[in-house]
Amino acid sequence: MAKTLELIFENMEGRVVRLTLESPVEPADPALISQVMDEIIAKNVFDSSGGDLVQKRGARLVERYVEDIELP
Amino acid sequence: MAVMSNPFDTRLTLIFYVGDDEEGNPIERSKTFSRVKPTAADVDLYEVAQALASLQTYTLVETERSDRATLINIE
Repeated sequence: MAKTLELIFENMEGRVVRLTLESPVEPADPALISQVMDEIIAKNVFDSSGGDLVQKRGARLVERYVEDIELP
Repeated sequence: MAVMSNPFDTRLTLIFYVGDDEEGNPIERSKTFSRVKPTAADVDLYEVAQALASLQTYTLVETERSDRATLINIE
């Protein structure tokens, strides 16, 4: 099943902002992910409804499970 | 006439190569990040794109910047 990588930040108002990527490298490399998130915060190119991204909240791999239902 | 450009929205699009179709033509997939600051420097956007691409398996073939602005007559 398709997985996505979610990078979860906090903005200036303490609200959560997610950036997602398809087809993540696995197994996840926590050090590299943390470094990329630090770079995103340092470059400060993204805006959000609560201001700049200022802090890392976490990261996770999300797997979507889809089951087709055969209709009679 | 004097017209001022008022930037209000910028997007960053990453174009990935994800494989070939049955006829050998490349299949590309794009990922767009909205809410990019219009003031963001090109070099910073490029480096953020490279950094994000390093976390996934597809090959990044192109990085696109889209700027939108309103044009205002200031006379």
